[in-house]
Amino acid sequence: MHEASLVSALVESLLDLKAREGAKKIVKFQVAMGELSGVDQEAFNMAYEALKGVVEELRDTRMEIIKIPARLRCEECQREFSGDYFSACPECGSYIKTILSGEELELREVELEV
Amino acid sequence: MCESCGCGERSLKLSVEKAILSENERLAQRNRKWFKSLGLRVINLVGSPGSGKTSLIEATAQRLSGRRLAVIEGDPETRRDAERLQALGIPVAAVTTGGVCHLDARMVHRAFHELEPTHPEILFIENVGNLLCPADFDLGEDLLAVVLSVTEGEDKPEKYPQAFRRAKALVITKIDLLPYVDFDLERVANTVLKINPELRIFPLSVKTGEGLSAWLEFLGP
Ligand SMILES: Nc1nc2c(ncn2[C@@H]2O[C@H](COP(=O)(O)OP(=O)(O)OP(=O)(O)O)[C@@H](O)[C@H]2O)c(=O)[nH]1
Ligand SMILES: [Mg+2]
Ligand SMILES: [Zn+2]
Repeated sequence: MHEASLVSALVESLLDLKAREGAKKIVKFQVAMGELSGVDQEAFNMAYEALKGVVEELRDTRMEIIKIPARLRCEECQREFSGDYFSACPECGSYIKTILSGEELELREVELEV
Repeated sequence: MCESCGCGERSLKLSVEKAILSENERLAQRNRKWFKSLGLRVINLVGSPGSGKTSLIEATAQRLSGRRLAVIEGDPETRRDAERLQALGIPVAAVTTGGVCHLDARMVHRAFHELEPTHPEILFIENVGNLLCPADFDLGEDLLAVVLSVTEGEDKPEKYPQAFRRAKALVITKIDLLPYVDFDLERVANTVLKINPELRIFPLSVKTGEGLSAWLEFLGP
């Protein structure tokens, strides 16, 4: 499970931001998690709670997770549809597709107290 | 938030929109440039423990004589795989990840500094045995290849589609054992091609040598 590595990369970004803005506190932040990202949300939460216990700066920080649904686009007929890695285009049956969204794992909005 | 209450604290909302792995992606691009400037071809092998990654490198090395190979070995605990390859005279940099389940671009960068003086033409990276995590970490390779053995069950692509989506090649190993296991090559091919229609599939056995020539040809002259 690599949720622990993901969370520590996330926390590193947060601490960098806090330092860059000279903030007193990280109040809250949002993580966008695509439904195809392969991240186990429960493991992610647990890894975050574990880090929270040892990183002073996170003691009162709230994490909000926003689930991003998968959107795909057929490369044959350009039809957009929802589905997953195994889906065929509902229009023409092609499996050649672009994943428009649903793979993201991003730090979105961060609220700091300055 | 507190601006109107007079306590002097201000809150600042930043819109960041930054991928959590963006630092790894930056380092991977740096590796890619470096490898390209050296004319080096880099193959990142990912697959479950025991799927046959080290054996595939050994078999490839023995048949690619005349090409200078080097290997980065990602091994969570031991140096055994590195020793197997060194016995064949291949320069190896071993990265013991200390229990981490994947290699990242920084580890590969450091390890390649050790290997650069041997002027390799092809670099194999044996990732940590694991089908889930390594596929998320770009290392700067040209080719991500999944190694899947016929003994580990045909439902792997269904369970771990990410690796198959991102890979350019799938090496199905141990096909000499097909008569003894429930593994339907055609079914697996059908599933992975739904995930990734452009995936190149190489069924092979290092025991009998079957299928190896197609793989070698794919690796190029
Ligand atoms: N029958 C048969 N056995 C194979 C083949 N390829 C590998 N093996 C055996 O499978 C076992 C594991 O092979 P390795 O090459 O060590 O696998 P690996 O993926 O490097 O394993 P880790 O590094 O531990 O993740 C060994 O006992 C190999 O001899 C093959 O084509 N046919
Ligand atoms: Mg090995
Ligand atoms: Zn279509």
